[in-house]
Formats: sequence, C-alpha cells, structure tokens
Amino acid sequence: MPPSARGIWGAMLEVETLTAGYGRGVVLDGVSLTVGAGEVVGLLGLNGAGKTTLLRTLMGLVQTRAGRVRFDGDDITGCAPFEVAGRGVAYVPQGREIFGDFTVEDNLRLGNLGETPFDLAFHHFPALESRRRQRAGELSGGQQQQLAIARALMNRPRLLLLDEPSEGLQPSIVGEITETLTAIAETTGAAILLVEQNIDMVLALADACAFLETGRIEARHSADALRAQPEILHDFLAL
Amino acid sequence: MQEFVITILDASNYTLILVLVALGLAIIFGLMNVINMAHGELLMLGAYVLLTVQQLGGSFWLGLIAAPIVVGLVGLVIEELVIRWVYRRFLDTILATWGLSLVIKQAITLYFGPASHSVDVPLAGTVEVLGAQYPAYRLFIMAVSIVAVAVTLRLFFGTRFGLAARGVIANRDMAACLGINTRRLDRYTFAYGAAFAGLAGAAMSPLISLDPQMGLGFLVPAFLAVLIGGLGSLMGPVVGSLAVGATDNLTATLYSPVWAQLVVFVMAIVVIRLFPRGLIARRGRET
Repeated sequence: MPPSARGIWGAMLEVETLTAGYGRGVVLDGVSLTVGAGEVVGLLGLNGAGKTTLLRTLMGLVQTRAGRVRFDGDDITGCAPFEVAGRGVAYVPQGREIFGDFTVEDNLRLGNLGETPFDLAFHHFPALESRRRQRAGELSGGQQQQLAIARALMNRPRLLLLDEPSEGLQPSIVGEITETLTAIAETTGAAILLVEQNIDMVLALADACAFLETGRIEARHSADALRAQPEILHDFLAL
Repeated sequence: MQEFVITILDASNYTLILVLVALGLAIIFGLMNVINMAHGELLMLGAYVLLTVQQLGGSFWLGLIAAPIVVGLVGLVIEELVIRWVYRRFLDTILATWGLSLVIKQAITLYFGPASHSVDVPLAGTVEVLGAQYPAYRLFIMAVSIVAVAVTLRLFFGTRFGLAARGVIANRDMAACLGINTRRLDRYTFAYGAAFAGLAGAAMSPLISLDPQMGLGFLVPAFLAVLIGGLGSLMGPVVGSLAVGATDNLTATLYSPVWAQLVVFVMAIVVIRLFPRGLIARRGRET
C-alpha cells in the first residue's frame, strides 16, 4: 500500500480534532490521536476525562459532532458500529458486557457469525474451552474478562479497543491478562488502544501513552520514556 | 364430558391465535423497542389479502399462503418508511404506529367499504375428538399456529440469524459492536412479525366477520398477553397468551361473555402487580 493511502502519518487509526458528547454536553473537545499498525497505545486520564467516550465514539456508539476518524486511510467518521466492526475494529467495553444468559460458545459465535472456528480464542484462553457449554453469567470475573477479549478476537481484528480490562480483578489475574494481551499483540499483529488505570499493565504492554485531559490529548510519551521517568505519570495522574 | 372437551378446545383455539399475534408483537418490541400499535391492522390486512385472493378466483389455501407473504412485504415497506425513523424514540413509536393504523384502516375502508365481509369455511366437516364433534377448520388453525410457533422457536434458537437476534435483544449496542448488522436485522424482524400477524388474520378470517375495525379486538388481548408473560424470553408471550386466552374463553363459556373482559383485566392487573416484569422474566431472573 502506498504511504498516501494510509494517510499523512502512515497510521492505521487517525483521529483528527474529534468532538463528541452526550446531549448538549461536550466530552471530547478536539481529540487528535494516531495508532500505527501493530502499535499498542495506552490512553491515560483521570475519571471523566473522556477515555470511555473516545472508544465509544470510535466504535460509532456516540455520535461525532466534528472532526474526523480514519482507519486504513478510509474515512469512517459517522459509520454505524457494525460497519466499524466489519473493517476490523474490535471493542472490549468497560464492564465486559458479555451475554450472561448465553453459553460461552454462543458468546464467541456472536463475535463473528461467519464460520470462524474458535481456535484463536481457545488458543489464548484455554480456560474457556473447558467451559464452552457453560452459561457466561456463571463464569468468574476474570473468566468473563477473558471471554470478552476472546469474543473480540473472533473477528480477527486489526485494532483492539480495550476499556479497563483490569477493572475489578485480582492482581494475579491482571498479570495473567497482561501476559495474554502481550501474546495476542505479538502473534496477531493487532494494534491496541488500551484505556487502563493499572499503570503496571499499561507500562508492560504499551509502546506509547497518550494523556487525555478535559477532552483533549495533552501529551504523548513513549513507554520507554515513562519507564525511565515515572514522575511524568505520577504528576499527570495526581493532578 | 363432550361439553368439557369442546370448551377446552375452544379455549386452546383462541389461545393459539393469540400466541401468533402476541409473538409478533413481542419480537418487534423485544428487538426494536417499538410498540407496534398497527399490529392489529396488519392482522386485518392479512384477512383482506385472503378475501382479495378469493374474490379474484383464487382458492382459500392460496390466500392463506399469500397473506403472510404480502403482509410481510408491507411490513418491510412500513419499516423503511416509518419505523426506522423513530427507533430510540420510544413514545414516538406509539404515535407513529398508531397513525399508521389509522391510515391502514382508512385505506381498507376506502377500497372495500366499511361493511363487513365474510369468508367461507374451507374445511366444513367436523372431526371427532374424545367423543366430541369439533369443526375440522378450527383444528387446522390450531395446527397452523403450533407449526408457526415451532418454526419461530427453531429460527431463534437454532440458527445464526436467531443468535444474532437474541444478541440484539439482550444488548443491542454490544451486538452492533460485534459486527451484527442491526439495520438488516430490524428490517427482517419487523417483516417477520408483520407476516405473523398477516397469517393470524388470514387463518382467523373464516371464523369472524371481516371489517376495517377488526384489528383492535386482537391487539388489546395480545398486548395484555405480552405484559403478563413478560419480555424476558420467547416463552413469555406464549405463557401470557395462555393466561389471557384461557381466562377470557373459560369465563365467557362457563359464566358470561360480559364478564370475560372484566375478569381478564382484573387478572392482568393482579399479575402485573405481583410480577411487574411478567411471569417468565421473573422466573428467569431468580435462577
């Protein structure tokens, strides 16, 4: 693909001065952000900064007021969620939103109604395979999170949007999920945009971090720089 | 004994027709959050499609097959022209579909006139059931209804389309984020619900008089059935129809038709007071 087809920055996902909100309120006020192919970007910010809203807007769940979103050089601003998903973007929402009354298998099937076999999902999450006929609502919190990620993998995504995958989980399980996500990023080559409060997880996974504050990206640092100078992080999150 | 059998069969008959109407209503509501006030008119259209086919010289059976197809197509058009514009505006769906019901009623009145029509019963004979003579056609209707409900259950629980539809019912936004084309699903589901109403109307037509106002008499008990049964699962409307159909019919037969409506409404109020989410949804939540 020629560079021009991928946009000026050569990025897979390009967000340009995106403005969005609920009702009359503005949550995102000119967000600009890029995620390269295969890149893992952590999105940090205090509660209410608009992290979840940004992911929901990218998925098409929240209407865009102004600005532009490009994926692979194509304008996907204002696309319906199923169209965004169809282009290879998968979403693991906050709170997981698995289908509790359905079996594990049916949850995965809903991730791709085509003929995709479960191998990729079960390869990364073998614990789910033994529970494939169990109702998803009966799984533990960690397993539900695994299922939500596995379901996203069913669509063979090239970009994963993850919203607080560590929320409400024990530290040991957070470590496990971090390892699995690292493996997923490496083996599938999918890019990840990760919203996360758990700094250890972000630093373990991300190539770069973007800081969202009052509806704008205030700064972007490489993960190496943040590991070398953790005070940048602490200053930002202590604001 | 014979009287008892006939009473039970009559009640089953009414219940099964109600299931057809209520199920269409519940599927449309569950999936799209649209309260379809025009559902009774779709039923009425089904009966008039059959009447038209007969007037053109076609057989009753051709009309019975044509009715769900034609009304399903009408449903597609209605979804495209009206319903899709009022999704997510719950109250507007009631107003829009109510307006639609007026339009359909007036259109039929203009074309066929306000007077009632009748359709001949195609299976005139009777069949002996447990010692009682029962009209063959009524048994046929019961069979049609049971088959239609079974096909629907199979569609929803045994196919990918059904899985997608149940996913949308459980969590529309998440289902859409997984790539399920909610737009197409809405369209087909509305058409399916409409076709169901059309089938019910056509199947019922030999037993009742056809007039442009006939829809309402089915819409109200079907709504009650959906409320009583709950929207938690497809079994909700089935159970609700059983409750409404049996109560209505048994009160009318054993006591007096005048009291039937009253008893049904009182029962509905009591059930909704005790189980605000309906009989089935409540049970599902406890397990």
